[in-house]
Amino acid sequence: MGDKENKKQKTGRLESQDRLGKIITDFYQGAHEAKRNGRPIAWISTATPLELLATMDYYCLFPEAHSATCGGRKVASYHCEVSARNGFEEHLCTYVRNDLGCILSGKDHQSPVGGLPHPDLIVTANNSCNTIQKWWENTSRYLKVPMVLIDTPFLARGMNRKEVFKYVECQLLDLVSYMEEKRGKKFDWDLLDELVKKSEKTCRLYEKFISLNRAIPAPVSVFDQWAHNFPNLATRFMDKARNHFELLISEIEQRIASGISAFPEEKYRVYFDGACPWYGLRSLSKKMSELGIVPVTSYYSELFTFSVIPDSVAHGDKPLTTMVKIADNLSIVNGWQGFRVKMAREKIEEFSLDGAIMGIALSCKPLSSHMPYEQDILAKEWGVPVVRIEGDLCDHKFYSEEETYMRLEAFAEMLESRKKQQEVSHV
Amino acid sequence: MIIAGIDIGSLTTKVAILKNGTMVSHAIERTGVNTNQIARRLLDEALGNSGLSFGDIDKVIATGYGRISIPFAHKQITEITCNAKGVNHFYPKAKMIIDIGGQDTKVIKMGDKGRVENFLMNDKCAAGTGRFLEVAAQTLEVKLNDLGKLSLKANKAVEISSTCTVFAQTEIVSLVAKQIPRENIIAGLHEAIARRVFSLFSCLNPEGEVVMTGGVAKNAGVVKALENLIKRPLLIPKNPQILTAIGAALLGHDGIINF
Repeated sequence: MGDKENKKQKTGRLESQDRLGKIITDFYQGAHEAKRNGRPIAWISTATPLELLATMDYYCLFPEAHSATCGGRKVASYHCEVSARNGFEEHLCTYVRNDLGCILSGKDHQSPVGGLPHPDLIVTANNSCNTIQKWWENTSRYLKVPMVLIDTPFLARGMNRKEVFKYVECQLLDLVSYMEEKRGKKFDWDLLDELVKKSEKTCRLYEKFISLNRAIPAPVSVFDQWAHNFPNLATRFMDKARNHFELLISEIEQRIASGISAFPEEKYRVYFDGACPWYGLRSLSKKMSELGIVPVTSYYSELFTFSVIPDSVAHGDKPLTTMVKIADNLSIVNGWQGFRVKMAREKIEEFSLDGAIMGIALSCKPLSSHMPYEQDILAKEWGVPVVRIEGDLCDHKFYSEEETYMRLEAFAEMLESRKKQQEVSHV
Repeated sequence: MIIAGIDIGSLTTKVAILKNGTMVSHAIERTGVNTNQIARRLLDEALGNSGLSFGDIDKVIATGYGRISIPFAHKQITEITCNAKGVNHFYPKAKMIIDIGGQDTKVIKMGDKGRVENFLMNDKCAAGTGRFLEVAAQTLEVKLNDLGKLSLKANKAVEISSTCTVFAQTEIVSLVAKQIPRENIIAGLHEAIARRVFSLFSCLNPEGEVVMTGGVAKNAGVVKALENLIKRPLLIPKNPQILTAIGAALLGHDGIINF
């Protein structure tokens, strides 16, 4: 469990942070340049097969990631208000409201990356949630851009997965035909194979990166993991993404060898379930550091391993099969929610954790609605201390800093008394 | 050893002075905007009542939402931990606490010696808290302290459908316009609070004796409504608002979260 002697650890900013900053800056600047140079732009959602569109030379952008960036710079609330003035209900997902608000703001938007260049195509899958389908339909309507929806059925246990596979595969082949028509060239299946193999290497490196937090003390926190998921999400088939993670892993292994940790004091190691509160990363990180609570791994970190890609490649699948598996396997709400509880339990064992934090995003029911049950099961069946904090994805108006701090402090006090009790019972 | 526990809540500030582990004085007053000022003034008042002065204090433990704004406090501890310690001191067999304060509701499950095993708080909403009752009392033009005894005269509790403190106010006005007796309205409000608290309470797999703390514990109507739902009697301290401040002082006496 956490460092029993609670001695102050050496800590320090990751040098890889600078490289990450450049990757992100270059990515968005590259998008604007691509637009100026006539390269086709696609807006796609997280769980859409990126490599399929990249094969046809679409520069792919992620409105979800853009909303996260807006949240981090605290401009999402402004965009959300613009959405609200245009009739989008205030309890709607704030990724949606930020994105649509940014579009509706026109030249008055406050996007820190200059907004997203106008797309030629937007592609989404409803495996992450059902709201996303309507989000993209609105985007399509406002921007007058064709939208492709990859419909991924709910993955009930005992379902005939072969039929689901075929259904999704047909849709991806339709997308390929559409792109061939629009781009005026044949789809290069060899290039897709090449991109998938590159992505596979990057995904394995990202998986290794987050697994290194098994070390005690943890060399980084989930705040670092969340920041560094960007190259794996958006640029995983590119050499610079693989290069970034190779260097990042090397830096972290050195930190482990030198005893450099995420926070000065690792009193308690915890699991974080829920969405990242992008507007509050710095303040939450600071508070948890003060309390010695190190969030060592998280559901969100695991989500962005895209482990289905290396698993599929290892299985010897054709690249199209890998693409299908991204769409039909990567499910946030499309399947049995019990897996979230199972994951929490596994991570608590694997990473030697003392407790868990449930980070409820008030505007994201799919990500949050299972949490009371998860908390219940962890606490009652496995005796794992859990605390619930409330916030949101990117709109800081949903967040009460003082209330959150109080809950985290009470959680730290609870963990401390539990630790003391365990020490007494071992004497 | 003289230890002072100061609980700065959203509505009221409470002070408890312990001398060698026994309470010798306490004080309570509305918090207002200047938490530092009220805390010091109330502390001096409580000290004065027991023939002590500020210089006699060995430790000051601050708790409550205003705990970080007390420069003369030696330590800040959350009200969750302090409440559990205070309750355990007077009710060593109790396992559960229901605390309904000015702006939040907490349910706490305790382990041995008042150790906090689990806790839950209300969502970002004042419904079901003291604030809800303050608004209701104002709307009905009754004193806050009379709500309890009035509700016990009700012949039928009216269902209050609104889950929002502000909208409940509108609902109360419309019920009064329909000439529904205010006793029945108040009883309905109490049942609405009790249902919200009962949801939180049930989530903690409750067992054993249950103590109710916080200002709302003085409201006999809410107590009755809760007892009907939890199907056991609630243990109500003589001064339910002061338990957290006492717990803070006890923790200072023990040597801070030392069970």
